[in-house]
Amino acid sequence: MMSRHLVVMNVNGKRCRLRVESRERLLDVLRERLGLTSVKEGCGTGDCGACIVILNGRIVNSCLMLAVQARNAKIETVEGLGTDKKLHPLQKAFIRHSAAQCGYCTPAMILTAKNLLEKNSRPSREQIRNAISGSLCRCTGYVKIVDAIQDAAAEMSGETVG
Amino acid sequence: MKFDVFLPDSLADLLRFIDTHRQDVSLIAGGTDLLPRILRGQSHPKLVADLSNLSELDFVIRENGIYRIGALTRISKLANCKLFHDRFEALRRVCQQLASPPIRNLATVGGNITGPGSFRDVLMALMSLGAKAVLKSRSGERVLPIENMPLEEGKMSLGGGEILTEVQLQELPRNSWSSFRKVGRRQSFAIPLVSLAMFLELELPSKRVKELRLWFNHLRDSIPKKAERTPATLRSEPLNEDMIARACEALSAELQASSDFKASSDYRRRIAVMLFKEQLAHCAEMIAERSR
Repeated sequence: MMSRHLVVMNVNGKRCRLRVESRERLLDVLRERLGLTSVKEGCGTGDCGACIVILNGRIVNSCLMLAVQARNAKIETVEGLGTDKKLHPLQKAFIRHSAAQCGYCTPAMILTAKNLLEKNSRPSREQIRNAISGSLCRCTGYVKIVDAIQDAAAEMSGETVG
Repeated sequence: MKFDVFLPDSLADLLRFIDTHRQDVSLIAGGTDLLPRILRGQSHPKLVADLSNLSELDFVIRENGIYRIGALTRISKLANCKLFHDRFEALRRVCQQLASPPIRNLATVGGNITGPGSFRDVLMALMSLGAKAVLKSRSGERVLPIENMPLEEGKMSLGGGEILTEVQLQELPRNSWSSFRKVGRRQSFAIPLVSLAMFLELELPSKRVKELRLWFNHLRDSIPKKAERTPATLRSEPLNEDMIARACEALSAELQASSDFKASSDYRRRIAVMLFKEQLAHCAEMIAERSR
């Protein structure tokens, strides 16, 4: 039993070796220790979804996990998705559709959409709405977000996007 | 918040630790209950045992006609469990509708049953299906019907040094069906106004009710309650509209609901009766369809 633990994680394709406190949440370590500030803290109780990351291929709320529970995990955040010069199709679609306003929920929405499209390349609007139902957006009203995800899905499937 | 975390390598390791430290230990698996409680200052654990990597408690298997579900099985895994095929609709439905997708990827079956603050609809579905709980401690194992387990503040009361390791479901009788339905103000993240888990077994072709189990939740609190008297009103003759109308009256008289900012007690009771009528028809229809 320890108050500090050695944790090895793969974050956005890079191996990270960290000594974490028992009480540190995965959210805290990603933001404060690794500087991945796309991962937001909203409610801190799993209700808003702003802290969503992809962990071992599943979306999870990083505010509800201790960092030590993510030992040996593969974690993806938006920082690993694209670059300033080469954005991911989902990022481009979100810009095209003005699907971000304040932007607080956007990283979680994009990660959720990426996770969905990896399992279902052409989801229906209903399936998209279900998939993003763990993330709250208080600005756009979701329509533009769903539009952007559908558009990105079409682009990623090789269709021409208008 | 300051606590130490213990990372057991095996179930035996965990049971040894719990036996040594007893009341001082909080268990964490999905974390969906414990961490918000710590953050709100409602829980102040000194020792936390992390179960999340105990793969020996993460399984869904069928063995000798019994479906065994490990306590660490994630809700999202049960929601799409192919092993169930079209069985246990009550359990599948509740798992498909619990909280939100990212929470379903974290939350565990064991946590919903024994955790301090969940809504316990999974527990209710398991009760309606007649599930059994397997409890282990260093001194042995006991298997009990979940329905008979004592609940303290809504969570299953375990003996000292004991943990829930799995739940078991029997193969259901041929002419039976189960269902779950909840009513809330939105589809995701809804704190239900009322939820219902039902198990119905009919005698065919007569359509007499052989067994009906009704469990409601959120009428007064998040502790599942069984409707004890209403099922008897449906046992005298084949299902028909008059009987169902009488059963609805009996149910309305039997249920106790409370008012809060979400709904009045009268509204909750009406919704509960509506759900009962709707799901009774659904279960009867599914049984008829499967017997063709």
